[in-house]
Amino acid sequence: MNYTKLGNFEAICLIVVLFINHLVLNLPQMILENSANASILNSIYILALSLIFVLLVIKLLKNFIGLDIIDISEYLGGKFLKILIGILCIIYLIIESSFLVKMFSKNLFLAYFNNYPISFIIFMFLFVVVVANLMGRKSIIKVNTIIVPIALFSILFTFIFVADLLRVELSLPILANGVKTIFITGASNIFAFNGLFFLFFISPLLNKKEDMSKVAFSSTLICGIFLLLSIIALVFAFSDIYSVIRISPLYFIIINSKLTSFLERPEIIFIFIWALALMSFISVAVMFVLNIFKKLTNMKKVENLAVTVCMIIFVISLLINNVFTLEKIANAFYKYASLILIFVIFTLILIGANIKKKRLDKKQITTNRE
Amino acid sequence: MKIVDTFKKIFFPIEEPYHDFSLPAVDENPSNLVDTDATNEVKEIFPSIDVNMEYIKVKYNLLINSDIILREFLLIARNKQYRAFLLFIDGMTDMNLVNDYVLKPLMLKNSANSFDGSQNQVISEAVTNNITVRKIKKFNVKEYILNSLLPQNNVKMQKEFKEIFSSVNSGNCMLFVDTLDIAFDIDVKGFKTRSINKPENEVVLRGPQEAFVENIRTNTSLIRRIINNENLIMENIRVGKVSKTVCSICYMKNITNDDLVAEVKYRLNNIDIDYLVSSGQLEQLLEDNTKYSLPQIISTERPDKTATYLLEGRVAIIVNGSPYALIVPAVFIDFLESSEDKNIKFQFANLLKIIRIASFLITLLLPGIYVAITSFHLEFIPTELLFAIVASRASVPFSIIFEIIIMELSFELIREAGLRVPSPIGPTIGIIGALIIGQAAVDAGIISPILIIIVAITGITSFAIPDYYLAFHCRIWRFVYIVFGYLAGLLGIAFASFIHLLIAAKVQSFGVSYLEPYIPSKGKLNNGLFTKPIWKREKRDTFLDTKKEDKQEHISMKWRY
Repeated sequence: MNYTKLGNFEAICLIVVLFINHLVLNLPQMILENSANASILNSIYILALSLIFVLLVIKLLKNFIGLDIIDISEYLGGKFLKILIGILCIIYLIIESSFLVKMFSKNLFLAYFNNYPISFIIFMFLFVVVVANLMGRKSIIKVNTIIVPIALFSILFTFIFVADLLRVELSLPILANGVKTIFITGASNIFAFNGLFFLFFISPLLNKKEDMSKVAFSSTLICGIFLLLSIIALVFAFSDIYSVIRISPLYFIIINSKLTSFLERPEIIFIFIWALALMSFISVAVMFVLNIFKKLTNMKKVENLAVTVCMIIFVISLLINNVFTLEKIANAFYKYASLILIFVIFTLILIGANIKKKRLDKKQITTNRE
Repeated sequence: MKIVDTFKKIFFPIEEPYHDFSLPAVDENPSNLVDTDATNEVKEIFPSIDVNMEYIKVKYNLLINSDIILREFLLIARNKQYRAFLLFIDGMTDMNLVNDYVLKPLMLKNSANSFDGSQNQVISEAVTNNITVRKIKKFNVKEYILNSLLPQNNVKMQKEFKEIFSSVNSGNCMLFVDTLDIAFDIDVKGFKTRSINKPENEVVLRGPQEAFVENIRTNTSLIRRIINNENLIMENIRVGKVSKTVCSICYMKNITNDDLVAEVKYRLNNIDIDYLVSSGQLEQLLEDNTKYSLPQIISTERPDKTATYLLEGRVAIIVNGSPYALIVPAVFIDFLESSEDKNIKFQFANLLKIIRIASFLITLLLPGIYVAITSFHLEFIPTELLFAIVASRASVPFSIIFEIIIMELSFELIREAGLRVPSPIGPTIGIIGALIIGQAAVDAGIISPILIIIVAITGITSFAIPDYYLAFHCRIWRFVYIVFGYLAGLLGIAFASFIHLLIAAKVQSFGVSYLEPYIPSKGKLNNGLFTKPIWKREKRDTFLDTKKEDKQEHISMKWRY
């Protein structure tokens, strides 16, 4: 993909933006549901696992500097695999965006916009995304670089203001349902790092290709630290009630924090920032969808297809009306699709491509000797 | 007889001729389609003075053009008479110079001029074996006039009419002599110009009190007086096919990036317009993104500010006839900077900057946020204030959006009217508008008092933005935020902000991202939004990619160590 070259910071922001949106919506809750009070240990464990995964990916990508996963798929399995992986990525990004926008809009609907239909809120989000994609990739990447740090700061603020509510005794029993749930079944919680999806696409975009490992490790660490902080906040402060929280956990933290003593209902400021983060993520997702599509079809200009992609996202987001069904399906998709696509399929492709490269190199050496 | 006339008038009216003028359409008058200038273009001047004179008379429409002076006379050179004429524009030249230092030496006989014209000039003489060897120089009237008859410091010989007209139009005087295929271009400019005054729009307390004027040479000299360095280059380029306005590109040869200078020259050389009157027009013609209202070029009336930017590695463009210099490239944070910032202590400068940033945000967002909160997020307002707002709006019959748009438009109207009316009445308009109409509108129950406060704060903060164009941009976008705030509350403000950010991210100024030096991040930040202490301003901006990154030593206050 030969579009705007990225600095390290821009690249980190691209990877982190997806994580932020999940963190704001329901990621801590999902992990808490899986591991209960042991989530703190579990999040440290999955951070370690994801760092190992990143190390592996970086090693595997070393032979394919400047290529993304679509190019590597083509190298491994020809056009067929390229198209297959391309379509899978497009579907993943579209569905992920649809569920995120629907869940966020649902939260907004419940909190502030009872008189407006959810479809209007979703429409407004997607309208902005279309404008962003018509403006071009440079603008999207730059805006994302502005919004991600602001969103991270806003999340950090929520933790600062909840600090006085933290009680260590609420985290007990720290091992919760046992070691098995933390280290064996809990390993599946690595899906929390699904922002690494973009790691497989940014290699050709980086200004300095040799900085790939810096970008990957920094973004993983940022995600891990923020995940840990949010879980600590929930476990140490609301351990007894987190299972019944049905709204965004961070939103819940804010409305119960000390911040309210300074401002009346200050959470709206955070909603404002997180809405920006969501717009930024969907813009990035649509941008990647268009670029994968461009790669698959060799089309010259794909920007106008942003309207079509956003319409598909709009339709998918309206498919499920029931809030609980939506939450279930979205969570399942988030968890399993991320695990299968990022941590299994992409890894297998990389391993396969490396094996193929080694064989070809060996062959080359033997022919040269002969 | 009278009865007959009346009868005729009634039954046989004569059509009286009346003046009915309408411009013929272009296709009705084919002569309009032919560019007479282009068809009759003569490149080089003729040796015959009569032909030259006729051509100039036609070109300058001398029969109807009152200020073009063509003065015929007999030029005396070495006792020989030549027919000659001077061509200049009355009002553009210094008449004393023309009379005393051009016409006088050319027309009057003097001792040096009175010997025989056919004599050759003996340069040296040597006698060897009774043979005299003389080195002589043939008489050359061109050189003679140039070297002996024109006591002027700036005289050039021109061959082409294009150059001749250009010089005459800029205030020079042209001397044509019979039999010569050249003309003498004598610099006798002397038009009246405004004297250097105090800056009116960029007032500072600590700093020079000089502003640019309309004359380009005065402006360049103002800059040269600040930058006493031979590396300061001022290249002239003419823009406009008809007006041929002189534009001066100023830059520091040893600092500014060559590509940037080349780009500025390229853009200026490729402006195909008939006329250029002001730097404001040129600014619009040079911008990278013309669709967006964000200012992309710094415009300043201060020579010290221009000099500072030149020394930083930017390029300034001065347009003849405009008291403003354009500086490129420009990034967003430049428009929040005042000329004062560099002259005062960094603590004061930074405090002022924070105030300006707050002003920028308030003027842009406050009305939109007010609409958003009062329409969607009433719970955000403290209860006492909410009661006050509700009570103040109780008698207002309009919706908030209507009320605020009416008030904003009224404010814009008062501002515009204040600018247009003669200056003695200007403040009165403001007072009438702000106090009397505002109070009357509140008393009549048309608008709420809280809204007056909102609009007033918005108005005041807009004046705290140092750049006029940025303030204008805020005025336009304020309405966008109001509409979005009304549509979806603070979420709507978020939508508008996102689009606004996208636009800012899209904009470039001469290849430099508008959000530099922060976005895109380069890992190295030499200068940012806030002013560093003067001893720490060691580097030039990274985004300018200058030839010299350091602008002062690591330890600049060497007297301390």
